[in-house]
Amino acid sequence: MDVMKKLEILSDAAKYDASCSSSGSSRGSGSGVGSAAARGICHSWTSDGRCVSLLKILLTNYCVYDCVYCNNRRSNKVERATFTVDEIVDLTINFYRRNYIEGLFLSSGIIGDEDTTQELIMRVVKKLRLEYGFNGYIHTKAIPGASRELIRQTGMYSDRLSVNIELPSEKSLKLLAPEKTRENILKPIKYIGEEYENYLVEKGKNKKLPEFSPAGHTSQLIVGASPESDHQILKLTENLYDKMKLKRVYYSAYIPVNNHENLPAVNVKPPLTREHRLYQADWLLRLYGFKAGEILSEKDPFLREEYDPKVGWSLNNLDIFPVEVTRASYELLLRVPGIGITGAKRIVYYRKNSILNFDSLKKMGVVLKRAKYFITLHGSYLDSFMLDRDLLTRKLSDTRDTQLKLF
Amino acid sequence: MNYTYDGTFEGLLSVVFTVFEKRDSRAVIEKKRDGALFGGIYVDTDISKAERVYKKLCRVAGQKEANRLYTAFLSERSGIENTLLAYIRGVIEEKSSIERIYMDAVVEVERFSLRVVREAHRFKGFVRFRRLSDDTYYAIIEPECNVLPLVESHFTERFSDQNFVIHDMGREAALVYSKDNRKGYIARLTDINEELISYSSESTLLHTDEERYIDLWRGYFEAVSIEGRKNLRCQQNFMPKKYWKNLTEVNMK
Repeated sequence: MDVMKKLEILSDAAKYDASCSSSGSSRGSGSGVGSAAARGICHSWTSDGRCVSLLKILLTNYCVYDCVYCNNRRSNKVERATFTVDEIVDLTINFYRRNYIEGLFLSSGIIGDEDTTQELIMRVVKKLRLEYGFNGYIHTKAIPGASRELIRQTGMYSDRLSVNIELPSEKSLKLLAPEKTRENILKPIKYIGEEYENYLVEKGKNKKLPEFSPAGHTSQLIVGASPESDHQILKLTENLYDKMKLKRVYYSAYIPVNNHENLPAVNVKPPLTREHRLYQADWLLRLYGFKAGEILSEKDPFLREEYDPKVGWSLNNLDIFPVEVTRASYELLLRVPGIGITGAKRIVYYRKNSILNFDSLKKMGVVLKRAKYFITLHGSYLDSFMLDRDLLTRKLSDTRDTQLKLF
Repeated sequence: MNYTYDGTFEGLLSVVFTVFEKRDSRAVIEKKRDGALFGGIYVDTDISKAERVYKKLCRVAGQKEANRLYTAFLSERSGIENTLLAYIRGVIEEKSSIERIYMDAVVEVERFSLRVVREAHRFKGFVRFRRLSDDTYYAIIEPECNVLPLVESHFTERFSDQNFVIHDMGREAALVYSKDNRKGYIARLTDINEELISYSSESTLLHTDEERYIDLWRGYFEAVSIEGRKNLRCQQNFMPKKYWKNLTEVNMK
């Protein structure tokens, strides 16, 4: 089979992995080719509006597993292909030199057994780094069940490692991926977390320490293939951030590819709005100081489609509003819908020496259209109205469908 | 009084020096154009004067703000010279930083600077090299702002082991890098060099490998799009049509 055909098959099979991030590592080129930019760089955008930053491919779409949600399950009749190590290296280098990409994202089905697969991945990254002096970005998969040593070596030459959680609960795994166990999946995640933390600690003491996944590690789970609530998902996410030290969790709206009694029907549309709301809630966890239990509860376990999770939280906590902008703490400002991180920082900075007015808030990047219901400035509102739950719900709902389609 | 200069940042700062020297409070600055009727005093570019102005700005307003003036200048918006002059007046007259945030010139400089910086960041991704038969990697770009000075170090660092040329068609300028002396420089097309002109002409031969990798890249780009999530508006939000002409994967010519 020629490389073109393989590339078609193995990039098509890899595209459901949501991460395209190339940020978090910063590296000069030294003697070889390439560098990693701390900010990450997007090179193109596909017709579905996702950024193309990395050459995202599978090493192979052969797989010994038979997970019912996956297009590459062994019982599916799909065309199969496997790249050689040299083919991947050649594509990566040549795409990189033409500035098509930031680097490589290499995932794989399980061919032979876990160790064989992990070793192939490791050989690709080793060859790129050591033989070709490649300094671009590399994101690879750690295969659950592969030996610790192989994962460690893969991590030494990768900027980022990830293990996909796949499904949010053990029960769903049993139903949809009966050959995988939660314990097996969590083991490498935990191990990578340990190695990564160790790397961060030791790095300060020893400049020559080999790298280990310097851009951190991530995971992805599928939303909508199984019945878990958003509350369960956010709890899990919170755990992954706190206990396993993940950099990011990605959510992938399930796109039906197989017919199976345990799955949504093939004609069901992927839950894109739900995915989008989960990402918003994820930001609240990572950057806004929210706890999963504040955003949702067992009694109220789903995010609303009509408004974002921060609005949802404020509607449930109207008693703490209005917030007085001239005095409120940074943390409290962050909780106001319409005030983001930049806005809150600027407010705290500028209010020290100058008298704020609503116009200056606008200039600082505060979205008054939303914030005005929740803030007072020198004791007064922008407009007069009531902090009324029903009224606010109406005013703050996304009525324009187009706004959601953006994501 | 009206002044003209040679179109460089150093030239503009030289005018600013002269304006302050003459205490001219009604100065208007414009880039010198050949055959223009605009009658103004042409101020020669004087690096030492320009440096004095720049250093003063760094001292009073800080390196970051001074650099912001430069990036805003690269927007090449008509009238940007006078906005920058107003900004510099504000700085030199030592208004406190709080008062200045509300000055129109400051807002404008920030806006244009951001526009330039953003476009420069975009072009770190939007450059597409073609490998030529002499092993040079050649790319054409047509950005709105003058981004080459801002992406120079990024590309020379990243591709330090290959010869490359990034050709800004609209400005007739190019970033030329040679791996042998490991140095890059921005050349005006008029100053140099037949070699560069030949790159942009159609007679240039592509490397025998080139068509193959173009096809592979286009094939890859097609394959990773997810039909069920099609969203062309979103795509064009991030990658406006004005840039498509030079992007191999969306321009099929």
